[in-house]
Amino acid sequence: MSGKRNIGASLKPASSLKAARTGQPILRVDDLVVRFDTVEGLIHAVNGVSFSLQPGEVLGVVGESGCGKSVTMMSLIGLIPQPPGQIVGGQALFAADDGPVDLLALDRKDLRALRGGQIGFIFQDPISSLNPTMPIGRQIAESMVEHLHLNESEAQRHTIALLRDVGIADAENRYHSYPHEFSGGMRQRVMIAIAVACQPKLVVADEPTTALDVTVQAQILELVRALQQEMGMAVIWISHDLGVVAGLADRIAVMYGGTIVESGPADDLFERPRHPYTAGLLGAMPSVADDAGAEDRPLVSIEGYPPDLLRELVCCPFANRCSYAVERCWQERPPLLSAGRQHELACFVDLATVGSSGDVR
Amino acid sequence: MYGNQVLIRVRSLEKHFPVRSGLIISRQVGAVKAVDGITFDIRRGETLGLVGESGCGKSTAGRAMLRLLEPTGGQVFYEETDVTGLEPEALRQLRPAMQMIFQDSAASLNPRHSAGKIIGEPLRIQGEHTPQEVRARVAELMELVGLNPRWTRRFPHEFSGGQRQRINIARALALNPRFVVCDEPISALDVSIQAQVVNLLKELQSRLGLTYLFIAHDLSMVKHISDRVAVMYLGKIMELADRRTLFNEPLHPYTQSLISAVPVPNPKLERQRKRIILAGEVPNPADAPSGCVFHTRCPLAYDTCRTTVPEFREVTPGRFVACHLADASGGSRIAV
Amino acid sequence: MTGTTLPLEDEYAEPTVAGRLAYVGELLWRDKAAILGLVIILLLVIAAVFAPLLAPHDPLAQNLRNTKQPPAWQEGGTWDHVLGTDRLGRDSLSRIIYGARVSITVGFFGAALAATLGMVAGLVAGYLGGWVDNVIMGLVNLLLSIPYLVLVIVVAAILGRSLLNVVLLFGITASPLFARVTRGEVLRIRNSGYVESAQAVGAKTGRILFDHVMPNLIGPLVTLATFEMSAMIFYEAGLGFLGLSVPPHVPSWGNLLAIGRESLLAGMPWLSVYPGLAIAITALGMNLFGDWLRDVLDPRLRRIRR
Repeated sequence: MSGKRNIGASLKPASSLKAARTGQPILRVDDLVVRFDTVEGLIHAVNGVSFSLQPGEVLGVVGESGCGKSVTMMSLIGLIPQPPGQIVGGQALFAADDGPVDLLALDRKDLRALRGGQIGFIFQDPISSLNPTMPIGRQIAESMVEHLHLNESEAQRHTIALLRDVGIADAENRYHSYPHEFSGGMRQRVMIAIAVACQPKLVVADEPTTALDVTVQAQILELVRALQQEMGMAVIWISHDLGVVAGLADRIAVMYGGTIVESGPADDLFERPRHPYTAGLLGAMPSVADDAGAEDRPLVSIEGYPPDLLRELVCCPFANRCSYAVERCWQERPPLLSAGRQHELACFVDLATVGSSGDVR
Repeated sequence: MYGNQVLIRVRSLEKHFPVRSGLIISRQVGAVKAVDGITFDIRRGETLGLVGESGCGKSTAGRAMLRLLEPTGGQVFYEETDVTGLEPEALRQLRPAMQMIFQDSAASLNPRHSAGKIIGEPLRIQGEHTPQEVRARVAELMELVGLNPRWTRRFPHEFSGGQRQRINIARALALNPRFVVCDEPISALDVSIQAQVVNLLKELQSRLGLTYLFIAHDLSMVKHISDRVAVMYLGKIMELADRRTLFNEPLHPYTQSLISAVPVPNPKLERQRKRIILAGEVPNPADAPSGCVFHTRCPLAYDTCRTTVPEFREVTPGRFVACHLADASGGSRIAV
Repeated sequence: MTGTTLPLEDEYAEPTVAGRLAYVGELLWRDKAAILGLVIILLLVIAAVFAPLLAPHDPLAQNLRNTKQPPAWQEGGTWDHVLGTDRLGRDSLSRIIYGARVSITVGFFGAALAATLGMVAGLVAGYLGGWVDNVIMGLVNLLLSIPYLVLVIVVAAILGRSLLNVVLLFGITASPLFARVTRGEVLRIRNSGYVESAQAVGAKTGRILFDHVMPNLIGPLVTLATFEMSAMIFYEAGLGFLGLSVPPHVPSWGNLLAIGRESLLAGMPWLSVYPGLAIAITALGMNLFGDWLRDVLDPRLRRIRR
């Protein structure tokens, strides 16, 4: 490991931790509903998602493609195209510096002022989010000038320090390099630098390591962990890889069919999953740390396929694939209810109560 | 069941892509050594996992073995037949025995052909079959891979990703192959669907006595499905051993760091794990490092590594490593 | 394995002809601009095919006692000659209707010739590659580098003015575009997984071309042909205006424009305005329809209704 690098030393600590003291969440999303109007019909992408995020907390959002995890987070920062997208309902209160605001009700200009300032974001594909015709240093410095009102030379100085912090060697010279002159992993470091440049209170990261090789992914995860601890911002980390969020997140939300089916503290959720889908997902994933012999057992496979989002969700989205499903699962949608300390569950069965008998039918 | 009989032998297989330059008269100025002299055997009925990061040449190796890409050196034997030396017609006749399952199931299915036409294509190309025979075999294959045989007239875009990969598998199995190269067959799929496909591949293997080369970048899945595993880096095999040995006591510094970089879906374990974080990224294959190709990122590299290419040798029976430091006493272990 | 007793027809997903048509109809209904384009094209085709029935007069019949008559709604116009008459008393409306014949012929056959030539060249170049590719694409680039107008003037001067010459000329000059598009598509398809998997089972080149490459070329080429047709109708009009298209007595839109030019200053604007309008509307219609066609012919965007 790379000794004690003083990550984030060039930056002031997270701008305000007032909210932390008062116990107010930094972000509180209530009953978000997003749809897409397409030739195929109306796609029910997000069907009532609610969650809250404390300052400095890392929330891992996991789920398979089409579960609505990206759409949920992109609609919070106003990055879904409308049309075809429509935010049908919900509220997303963000504790901005000058009081709480509803992200879903903000106009484009105000949202843009928050984005890149108090809210940073990192995408899977850095090349499409970087301007190919501008040196990366200037792209970072620009947002500092705009959001932090630094002058040019201050911004440049901070940017070089920041580039060094995210592990880019020879930062003075790399300041003037263009995005195509960087490798995939380095580009993602630049994206991270941009995301944290203005000391955001919240960073939204959408599958930022999915396109990277595993050894480079390990580097990036290490960097994000260190930056988060140093700067103390809240992070929403979207991933399909349970392994990636396991090492990063304080709390995990599992999404399926456009809803959160279970959320809870990471340790708790991985050790005692209570939603059949969470349990299935964990069982479907082998691990390099599995004991000898585990390979000879077939993987737990969740039979069937995810729900057709063209239909409105009237029952549990997982019912057709669930071996525990009871009559009620088909009749109404289980609400996301508190199920113990910081644990929330949307299931009529709850694996914790099923016990070893395994079968409730 | 099949003993240790060898089905496929690969000897010093090479695939170099020329790098040309010059506007009018182009001449070769270098080569990308995508596959640079790899040697291994695949036993009848086993699964050999081939892992590595992007650009390591694992997919090229699979294609060169089937001569979907013409190798630039070395040999591949199927039983006693030298595949690399076959004339086109003889190769055509051998094709049914060696098949491939492709990674991107969407791109590997012609969007204008129905599922039935796609799965039946090999039958129409190889051998004499009446339309009735083709239809019956297609239905049989669809059932074999868990697709509804009534779906023959559907088009690829009407299937989900997992179902498309099943079509891919059915097509590969149409001609009763004995050796199948699986080129990242699950990388594009969701976790729960990956498990379905992996279970299906394993079941088909035991049912039909198939031999697999399973190419992937996901070490967890490779560990699950393979009997033996080969690790590639920049066109060369770094280490090859049976899976338990390879994952429990990796000898090559690259294997060690690769395994330690894979995140484990267990928060408590993740916090305790000591990680080897490699510096930098995979070098450009067109300009591969001298000596041991891994020396630029290896924490243990010393002078010899920079100048001399390590031999790919059998350290203990069945365990091959290409590292100057590797020996049974653990001289190549990275301390964390 | 048993189970082959199952009916092999897929009752659930089998798209009937009616179902497909209904779906295409719905896609069309969603794109109002494409409907407009289609209506324009249909009207044009009807005009061309049924010209003798639709035209109120013989387009060539002169009537020297009734020349320079303005359109019906203008002072001095009559409903017998809705769009008026020219210097020789020929009926403008009839001439415009007959002009659609020339335009459709030039557009359709010109584009068909260009597509055929270009597709063959592109297929050969893309599939064989190597020096064949270099030679063919060299020729294509050479053809593209000759100034179009110069070529047209030279050809018209040598071969004379006839409909066939115009079609040949357009077919040849537009073929490089089709060659390039075809070659690009062939290269893409050749490297696709499905061609690779056909090779893996030992398919020969001819089979791959007919089974995999050609069907996937239809979409992009038909779309390009639609746009090229409208361009050719434009060019024909331009050539006619310069006196380089079909012989002057033939009522093509270009020739009508050329005559109209002189009349414009002579206080007979209707002689050039209405042929010009016909050209503009036709081009608009084909472009609107072509845009829609591009989307519909992509099988990935298409989903058969069940």
